[in-house]
Amino acid sequence: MPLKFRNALCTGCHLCELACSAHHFGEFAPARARIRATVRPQTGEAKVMACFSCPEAPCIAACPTGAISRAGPRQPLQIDPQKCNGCQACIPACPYGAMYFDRKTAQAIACDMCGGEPQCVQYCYPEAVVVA
Amino acid sequence: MVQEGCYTGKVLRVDLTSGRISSEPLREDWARDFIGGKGLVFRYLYAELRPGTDPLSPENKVVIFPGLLAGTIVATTARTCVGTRSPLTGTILDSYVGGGFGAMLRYAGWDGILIAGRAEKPVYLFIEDERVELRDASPVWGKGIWETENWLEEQAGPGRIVDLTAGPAGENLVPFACLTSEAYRQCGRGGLGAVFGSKNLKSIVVRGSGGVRVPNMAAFLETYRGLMKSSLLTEANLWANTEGTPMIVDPANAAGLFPTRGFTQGEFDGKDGINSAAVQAALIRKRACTNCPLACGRLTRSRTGEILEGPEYETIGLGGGNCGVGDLSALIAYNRLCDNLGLDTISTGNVIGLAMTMTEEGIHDFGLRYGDIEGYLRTVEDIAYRRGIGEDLSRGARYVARKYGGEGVVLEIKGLEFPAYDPRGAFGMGLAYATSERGACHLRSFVVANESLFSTFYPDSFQGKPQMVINDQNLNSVKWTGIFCDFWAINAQDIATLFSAATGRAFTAEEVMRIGERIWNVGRLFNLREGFGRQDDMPPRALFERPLRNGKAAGKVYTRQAYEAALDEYYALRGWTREGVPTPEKLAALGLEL
Repeated sequence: MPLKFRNALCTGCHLCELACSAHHFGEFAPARARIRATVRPQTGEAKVMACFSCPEAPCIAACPTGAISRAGPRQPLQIDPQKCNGCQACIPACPYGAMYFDRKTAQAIACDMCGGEPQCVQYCYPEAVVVA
Repeated sequence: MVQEGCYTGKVLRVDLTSGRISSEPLREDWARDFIGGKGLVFRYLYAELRPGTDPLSPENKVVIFPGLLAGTIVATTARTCVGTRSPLTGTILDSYVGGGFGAMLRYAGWDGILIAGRAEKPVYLFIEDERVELRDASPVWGKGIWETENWLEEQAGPGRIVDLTAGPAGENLVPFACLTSEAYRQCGRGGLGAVFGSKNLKSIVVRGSGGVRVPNMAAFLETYRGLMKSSLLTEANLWANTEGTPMIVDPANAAGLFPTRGFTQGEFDGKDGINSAAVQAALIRKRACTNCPLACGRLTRSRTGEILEGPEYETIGLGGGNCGVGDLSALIAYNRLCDNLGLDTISTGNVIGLAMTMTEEGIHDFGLRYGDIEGYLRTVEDIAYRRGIGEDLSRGARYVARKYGGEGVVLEIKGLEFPAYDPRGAFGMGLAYATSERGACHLRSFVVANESLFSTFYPDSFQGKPQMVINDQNLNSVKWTGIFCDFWAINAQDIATLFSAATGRAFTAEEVMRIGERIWNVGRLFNLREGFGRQDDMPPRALFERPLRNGKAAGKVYTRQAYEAALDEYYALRGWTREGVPTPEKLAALGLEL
């Protein structure tokens, strides 16, 4: 089951980003997160976005090295670090802005559902990020 | 170079006069003894400022340190401490802002910022990791906070930035002008906005792409998850999520200490228009500081469609009850004006309330009456632009009282106007205000909670209060090295546990409390060096002479004898002389050799 976002409940705390980067990279680094919150402080509007394995998954076709795959429709993306050459072609290909680039490893990153127990969901107190 | 967990080991130094920007190592010994936040701000200020420095001169400095845990997943710790010598009080000043500035500064690779001098033209400091630049701010000089923030975002391009910005009031050197971050979060008290203004510094903008590491991530997260369950997400703190600070309005009225009509009453007949229920009725959504699940912020909408994050309890007290205003939409308009112009809502509500009282009582005619919404909103702008009656009012309540014969009615200590807890309804709170290093402040000791607000402990006596106040002051001093928010009622043991997990150094609760006491004493030494002493740890005359006219605390006043005895006891318990000077033995015990 992919992630689901309930933006009206998002308080803009960015905890999802820290839970994500801590799990995947062992550090608290929002710039390395596979989930991102965008907040407009003046109105409080907030939006959270990560790869939810959309039906079309145009990133897969956009990748020139065949690094992106998934086990089936709506299954989490897998990015093969051996094949990803950091060209970033997948990033504009994603219509949701949910494919990110990690500058430290120079590779594309996307939500992998933490192997089944998404950490962002664990830390999202307002339940703006849930498993659908 | 400090290599322990969390710290980056680097401090940014900026001289606005020469434009020189440099990086220097964080003082390792100070990081060990003072941790972060308030501790490092006080230690650096003590070392960096020459005695007698004019707060609005280029020689004054702005010292900025987030806490030890900034940038980690630990709730409330993205906060930032900003310090200087206050233009309002002349004391040492530490002021705090929530939001995400502190976390972002760490992600950019900096433990702190030291700013001196005065730029020739308006500038802003742009920090993007290693890249640090002074940039032209003349297009937004004179502009309100929100327009400035939108412009800064455009300049910075895509990606999140966090700012610390002065408004027109700061540019105009109003000594209670604040600094703003992310539209509605402020270093509210003591006039940091004016210090920015005096330096021709409009804003600091940070964007960081790095991260924060801890010695053992898995162990750190396990420890923190335990504390989330046992301490953070408990009844003691969840009021912040369910109601936020407006929750305090009803109990404060019931206790008879809600600031009402220039602090002449303790119970406001119009409180139902501005209490928690009224705010809930105007609620759009909740808003959190970075990394905080409590999300105490409330986005509200006024009758005319204006949006605000707030109003918070202090603004409700001072801008509402104290000015005789019981209409939420008027209060939202007041709050928005203050926020956009960069004025502290507490001090502003105090000076307007004082002008109303002095007018009503025939002391001096400012043309302002309790509940005059039009006059009150106009006066906020007059203060920010220092025009009309605002020319006098912009100088603060102490100045106004002295100039126009209001010394008997004004409520300020060391020049800092009162927060929204009338100490005639909680005597210990008077001692807490009076012994606070930055003047009348409710955040050094919130003894009012146990004394009167949420339980009762001899509210009209100083019995037992000196020790309670000292315990709070020491605990809060170390809490603000974290920097934990006031709204997490965390104890010394849990602070020690988190500090240990974050650094790999074993802290104990005792050591944590000793660090707090050490910081408190540095603040005292700074103020003594500036000529402050026992005579300045005194409540204003009104607490001795003017009983409140209604409410539970009606009729109660302090006696000189009881207050002086409480102050003697406070000094003795602190290991200070009768004049309030730390003894050499106390300083040695705290390892303080300045």
